[in-house]
Amino acid sequence: MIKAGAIEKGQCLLMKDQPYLVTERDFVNPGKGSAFVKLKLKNLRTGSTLRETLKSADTVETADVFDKDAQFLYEDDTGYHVMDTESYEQYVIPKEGLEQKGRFMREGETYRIKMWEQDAIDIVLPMKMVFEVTEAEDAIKGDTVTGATKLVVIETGMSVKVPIFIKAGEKILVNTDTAEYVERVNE
Amino acid sequence: MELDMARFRAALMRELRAFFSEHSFLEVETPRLAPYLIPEAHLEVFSTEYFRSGSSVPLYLVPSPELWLKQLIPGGYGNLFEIGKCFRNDEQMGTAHNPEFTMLEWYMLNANYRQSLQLASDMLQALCAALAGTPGADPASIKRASQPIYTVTVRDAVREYSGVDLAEHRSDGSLRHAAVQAGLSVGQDDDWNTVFDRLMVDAVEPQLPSDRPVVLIDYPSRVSTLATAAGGVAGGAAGGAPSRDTEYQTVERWELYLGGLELVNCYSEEIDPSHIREFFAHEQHKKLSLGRSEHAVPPDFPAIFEQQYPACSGGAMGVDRLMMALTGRKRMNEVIFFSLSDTISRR
Repeated sequence: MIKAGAIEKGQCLLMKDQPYLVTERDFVNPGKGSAFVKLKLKNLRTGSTLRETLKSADTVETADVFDKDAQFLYEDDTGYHVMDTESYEQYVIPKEGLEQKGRFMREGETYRIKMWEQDAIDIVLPMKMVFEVTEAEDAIKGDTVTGATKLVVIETGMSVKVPIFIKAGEKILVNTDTAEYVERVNE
Repeated sequence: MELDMARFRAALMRELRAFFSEHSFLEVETPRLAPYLIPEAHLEVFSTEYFRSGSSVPLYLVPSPELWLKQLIPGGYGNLFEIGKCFRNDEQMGTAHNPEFTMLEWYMLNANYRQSLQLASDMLQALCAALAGTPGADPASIKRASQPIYTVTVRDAVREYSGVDLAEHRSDGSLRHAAVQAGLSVGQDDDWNTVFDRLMVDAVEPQLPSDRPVVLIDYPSRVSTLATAAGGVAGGAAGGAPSRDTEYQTVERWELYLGGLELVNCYSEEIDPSHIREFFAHEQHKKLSLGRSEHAVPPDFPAIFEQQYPACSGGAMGVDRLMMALTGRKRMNEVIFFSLSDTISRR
């Protein structure tokens, strides 16, 4: 059991005997009132969406979810196909709620995945990952304003907003939760 | 925070100060550290200690400057405003929350909440006019903020967006039942105030018009605040749990929403010392029942109101949220430097 106020995105909860993945979580404090947690949940069995508003002080049951390592093979309309690196068993992880993570994943690479009973339900990415910039426009000469930004494309095809001094071929550290640039990586 | 945002923020601060000083408000700076706080049940505090020759004094970071400003009001300083950091613990860091945030609080003397509403309306107009061309301003957001304010009573808004008439449901069970009929999920033990909060959070707030500023006005007396009872009727302001036979009463309070964000909270301030004492007792009791940390309360605070204390109206505005509402940014950490969620994650 955990307090609703401690629920995090990506956590798994048992509600009404169904396993749910928390896909969105927001906190609301109506003026001078009690604090609430607004949740968007994905039913791990049916894929259906549930919205729930809980008092921060309420308690909720967590679903018993465990991690394992899996190699990301490819993605298609059914989801992300991964393979257990020990048993070679393959799983398909439904995409809903994981679209942003999907844009950071490299085929062939190994990630932590989350399992509930026999199903793979989530991918755990490191908080920050290094990516190569594959496309970037040159900074305009004379534009020395500090803090100005531009969009570049990283190796996975995702666009990231970066300071204008970043060039194609350079490596950058990106926060995978917010999809924001953190810093340039010099190797 | 990007350069444009930092510059817009600096310009916003400048314009806020200009607006309030042009309207004869004196800017003051009061302490962030306090040995006692006004008890507010739903706020958790930040505690620290002051060490003095071997002993220590507990201190708290202020959740708002109200404690100090209300002591200055009888001092003849006239209308007051302060822009400063405020601190609320155990508030989850989210898109519109940071435990440390910037608040603008004003007190207008010999005025009520309606006059403060006019002031807030004028302020939005002045800010939009002055900042429309500033880099970082979002044209659509500025346009929205400069529309005439849509004002609706809390009772009408709840009725319109959920079908529940607050005045018809005075007991906990009755309001719970009505909320369930309206399609909301409620807890079995939810009291009247909690169900009211759910109606606001799940039915009203998501459906408010989003193309202009919205003011919800005339809150039920059962929501405990330091706002005066409507029309100066005594007895409602201290909240508590009025008997089931009492009529639906309201207090002189409004909240302004802009772009889905709760931006300003404003009262005709309670100045009856007996009501203030009741409020203190009620909030301290509630604080304990909610398991919040205890803190000292200012012992002489209610007594200030026993002397000649001017009628006044006070408003508190979240400046970081105002930044979001004028720049169209969706997350608070885009409009402040070093948000706590960012610095903690880098630890």
